[in-house]
Amino acid sequence: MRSKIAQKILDETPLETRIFVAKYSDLILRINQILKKKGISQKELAEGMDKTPAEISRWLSGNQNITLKSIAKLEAELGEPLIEIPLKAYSTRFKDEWERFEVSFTVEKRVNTISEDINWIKEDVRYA
Amino acid sequence: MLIYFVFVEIMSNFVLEIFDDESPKCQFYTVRLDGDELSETDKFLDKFNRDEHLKPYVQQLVSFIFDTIGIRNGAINDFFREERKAQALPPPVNVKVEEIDFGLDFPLRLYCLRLSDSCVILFNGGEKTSQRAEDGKTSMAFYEANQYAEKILNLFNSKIIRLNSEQREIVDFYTSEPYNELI
Repeated sequence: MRSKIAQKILDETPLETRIFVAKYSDLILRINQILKKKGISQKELAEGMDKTPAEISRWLSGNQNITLKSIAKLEAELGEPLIEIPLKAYSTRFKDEWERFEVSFTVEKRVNTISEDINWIKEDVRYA
Repeated sequence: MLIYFVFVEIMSNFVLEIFDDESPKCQFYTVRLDGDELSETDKFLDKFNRDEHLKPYVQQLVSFIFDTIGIRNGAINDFFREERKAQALPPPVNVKVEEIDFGLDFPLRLYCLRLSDSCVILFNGGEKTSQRAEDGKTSMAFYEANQYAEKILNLFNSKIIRLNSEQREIVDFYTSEPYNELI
């Protein structure tokens, strides 16, 4: 059972909006995850990027289109990738008689601890 | 003062009802005043969905609730902003009214009570016209949310209701049946 009004709104929501919301929330989670892992506050992140905390918040506010350049700046400051382009199982011939395949996938693991401790395990598996 | 008394009277009669129990990672409840056709959350969504300027944001918010929280992640800390300490309530339940956080510049506020990562009660909200929930156009909705929250949390602390073992469903403390009483 779901609220009829909410379901109607969801049904009318353009797919691009739902994709945007998913990407934006993933980005926020990823940034928070890295900040927490590295023990960096949003304020310290802002200082490192020579921005004000308000500017960083606005970057991450969802209402402004965060640019690829901004993401690159954040990745450089955080030292970790924020977004990855899914090049699904592409193959490249790089040597006679050898063909390289690259695949990536995400593993979601259910744990019995509080949400902060839930670990998202991401692995890149390379076959060569 | 008259408005206050009317409000108190209204506040004494509401029911907790399911807003969404289909999403795998979180069950959503809302509150509906006795005699009202729409729940408080439906009133909020319906009102702002009729506003052409705010409609896209309502769509984002609904997608955020169902797709991000309900289906993908559950009600984790990253998606909520604490507004203020709830009334001083003793353990076992002492949670706070929060705002679903879809960014600093997001023009709408929707208040809620997050009982677990898998159970959230949604209230009403409003258009964000100030940085603080207590001010601007959302102040009344914020006040109401705190009133609802206080009454609901009192039921928890009085051992009248509890969460089920999955921390997802609000049930009668003793019978474990869904709680449908007027609050």
